[in-house]
Amino acid sequence: MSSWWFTRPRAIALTSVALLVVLIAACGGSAPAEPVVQQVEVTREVVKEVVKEVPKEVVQQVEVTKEVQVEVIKEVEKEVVKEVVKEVPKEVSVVVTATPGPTATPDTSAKSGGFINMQKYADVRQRLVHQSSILNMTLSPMMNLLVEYNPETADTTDIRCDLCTSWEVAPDGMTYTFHLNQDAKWWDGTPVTSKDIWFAMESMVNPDQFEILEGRSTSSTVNTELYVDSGATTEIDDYTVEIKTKFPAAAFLAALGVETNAVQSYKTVIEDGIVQGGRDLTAINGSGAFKFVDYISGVSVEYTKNEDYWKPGKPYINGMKHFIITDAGRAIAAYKTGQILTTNWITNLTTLEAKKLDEEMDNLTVHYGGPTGWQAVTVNTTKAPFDDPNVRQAIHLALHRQPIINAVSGGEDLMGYMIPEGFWFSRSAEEYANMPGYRELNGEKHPDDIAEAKRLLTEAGITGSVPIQLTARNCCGYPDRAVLVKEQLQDVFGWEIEIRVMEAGAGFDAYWAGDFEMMVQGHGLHFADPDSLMVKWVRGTLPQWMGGGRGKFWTITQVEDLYYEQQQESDLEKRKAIVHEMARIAQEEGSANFPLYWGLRNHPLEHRIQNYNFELWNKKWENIWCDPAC
Amino acid sequence: MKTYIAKRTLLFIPTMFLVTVAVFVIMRIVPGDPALMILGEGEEGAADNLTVEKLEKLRAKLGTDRPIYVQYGSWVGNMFKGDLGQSYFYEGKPEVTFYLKDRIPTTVELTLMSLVLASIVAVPLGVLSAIKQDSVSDYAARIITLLGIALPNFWVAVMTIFFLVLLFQWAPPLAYEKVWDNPWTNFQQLIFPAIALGTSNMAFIARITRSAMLEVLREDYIRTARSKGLAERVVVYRHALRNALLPVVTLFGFELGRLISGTVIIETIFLVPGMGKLLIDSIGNRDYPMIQAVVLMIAITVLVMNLFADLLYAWLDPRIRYS
Repeated sequence: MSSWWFTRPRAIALTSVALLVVLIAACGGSAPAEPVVQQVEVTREVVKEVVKEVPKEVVQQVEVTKEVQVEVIKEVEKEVVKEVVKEVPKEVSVVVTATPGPTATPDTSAKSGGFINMQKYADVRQRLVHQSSILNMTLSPMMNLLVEYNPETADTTDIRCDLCTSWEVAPDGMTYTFHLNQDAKWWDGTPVTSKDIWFAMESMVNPDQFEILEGRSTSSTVNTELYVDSGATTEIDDYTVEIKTKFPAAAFLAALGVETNAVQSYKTVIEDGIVQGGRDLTAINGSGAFKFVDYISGVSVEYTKNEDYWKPGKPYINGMKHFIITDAGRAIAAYKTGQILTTNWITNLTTLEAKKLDEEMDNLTVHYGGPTGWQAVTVNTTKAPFDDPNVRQAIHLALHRQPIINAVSGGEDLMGYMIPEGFWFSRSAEEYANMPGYRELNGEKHPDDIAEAKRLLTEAGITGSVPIQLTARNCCGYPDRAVLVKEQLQDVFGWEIEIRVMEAGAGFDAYWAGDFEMMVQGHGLHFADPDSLMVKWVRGTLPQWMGGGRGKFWTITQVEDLYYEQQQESDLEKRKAIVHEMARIAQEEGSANFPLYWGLRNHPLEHRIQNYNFELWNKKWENIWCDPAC
Repeated sequence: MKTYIAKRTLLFIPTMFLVTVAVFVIMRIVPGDPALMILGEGEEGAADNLTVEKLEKLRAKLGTDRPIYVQYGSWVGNMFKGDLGQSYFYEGKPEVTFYLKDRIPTTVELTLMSLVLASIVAVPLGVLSAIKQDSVSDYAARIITLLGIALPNFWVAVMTIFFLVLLFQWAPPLAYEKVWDNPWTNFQQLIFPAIALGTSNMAFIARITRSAMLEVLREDYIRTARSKGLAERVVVYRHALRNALLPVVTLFGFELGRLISGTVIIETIFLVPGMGKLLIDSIGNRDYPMIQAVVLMIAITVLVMNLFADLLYAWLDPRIRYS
């Protein structure tokens, strides 16, 4: 019937083929299109072993290293480390400090050159260097710290100098004297002096004293102000600075080594009036190995090598681009096609997705680091029936964690009430396996726990169905976890649980206003020390939510006391015991936060990237190189 | 015609007024305080040291402590001076217009590319389906269009990436290049989002084309044309298609609005720095001035494109005269 060319089936078929050819051409015509990298067989098996063992072995490594640092150990052989721990007099090992080693020297085996694309799981948010609410490591490549986590080791207590060359600790364990590296300089050519260190410390603990920083958040996640007061930092001379802590703080140096405590230029901020933060990266005057090139909001941050970096020979690579990829599917596609080679911190891939990515790629290994946070059910203690400790204890006993862990991570994520597995202060998986609330019998929830949970509810006067609203922010998998929790509590107690899903920001507002009964929410851990973890139960966000909203703290008195006690305890075994006691009390007294599991953080790493330590709690990228070239 | 354009342009005023009121009021009804977001409440644990004084000070600085009608008046007043406001979130270049200028061309390019692709496929598909009614080709075309309408954009986007990786070990470039900087990379980056974005539009346009063609092909003048001995090609192309396209053209204005709203998801998945991505980021940040400006731009675009479609309608159909 038709003689019009484009309506003919043949014409349509040809057009379709032509379009397909154009698309195929589009798929193959540019540099990123090449799936690259095929020097792959390198070390896959070896790396795999590391992946499996690191979280477990950290415990041993930490114990060994810390004691070695207590200046006793030179003659003591490795096998007696534990005895040494007990014998070290408290006054000698007042503070667990790292070895005051010099700043690293260039690695002679390193290869210079190359450019690395990375994933960045969220956009830049910080308004101030010291505010790093999501630890997205945007500023790290451009800044330095007074001390840093040693990138040569996986030991998260191994701290070494970054801007300093050495430090001493006075016998009181509270007075630190740092000697600065006189080669260190800002990008504008001015030297890094003790004035800058003074300013950094003051802006961490009390930014409001500087008009330009007024109202900007402090480093709440690291809590430097827990250790140092405003006015406690003194410039001895241009390159010597003294910091007095409030008490012999075991975790002071570990806290200083975290990204949020980067040192910023006094001159730039105070004299030139330029705030150093993530909201205007063009304004950064850093001292770090990489300089800022470009930021496209929501898309990417690009850096280039600082050719005048004060650490000779570093960095090794010429530049980096961090792509803000919030969609897990897009991230996986980017890893698989070689568009990105690693992540700048954590990813938004679930453990299951990360495992699958690892299995499917020969030239990339996914490493797993100690957990950065936990997922939990939190209840509002100002609302019945959660004002009753028996009810809270019953919820803890009734929750069956293992199926939830299996569902979200194929069993990879970690158990833990207050304390996760995998750190030196942890309980072991075996301990958890026998603890009420965690134990199982023949793969099922232990019947004694169920019976005890029901008894507690009866004692609290609750029988039959209770209507409960379970809130989940529409973010980060919370609604899915809410469904799992709802099913479990409905099965055990017969409660009528209604899930309320809220927009992410609105959900936070509701939590702060105390407008919730029960919620599913994740909580972050920002460095590997009990201080960073235990502080969550005595100050900050969580106690306020549990107490019914802003300013209404709810804590268990004994837990708070023990928190301050462990902060000052330098004996690791004793400190660990206190931490465990805190967890025990919280559990038995009916905490209002019930951890479901601790998520392992995953780091996909393409095999060309060398000398990378994924355990670092700061990512400056100055120590890595590519071999073969990238 | 000039009178008609003037009248239609005047009608923009009440529409825009309603749009501005709606976006302004809705943003302030929705929970989420920009001062809280700025001070870090967007993340758990980031606002531990937040005090009421800090909050009040910031609210005063942002002007969000003023009555809502005062805020609205101030915003509209500034808008008339060409000032769309300052972003609450970005500090270096807080002017909202800076981001709009940067993002609008990308979204316009993506949208147009999507519309063109959709039309290139949809119109021949609709015509083929109509002139081969109830044939295998027609059934195939109808199935394709039904699928196109049924499948949500974001799913098509995710599947597009999935199959590109599966079949070609390739994904669209991550690093965005502007069309005038690197046309080929720009094409590679936008072609697949455009396809994902345009799938449902293609299906919709194809179905409208088909039904319009079927209707026109049954008209007396088509029978007359055929009886005159005109070639089928001439009948279809010159007589049927031109008339059948009238409703399709009207559809373009409407479809453009749908496409722009679709960019919100598509740009996020494909990492395209356009207006959609800016809007979704700004909503997350409770960046009121940015959200208001983006919504305003989208509303203006839809209004203008609808006017344009109406004018085109008149050009295509000489019987229609606007006065």
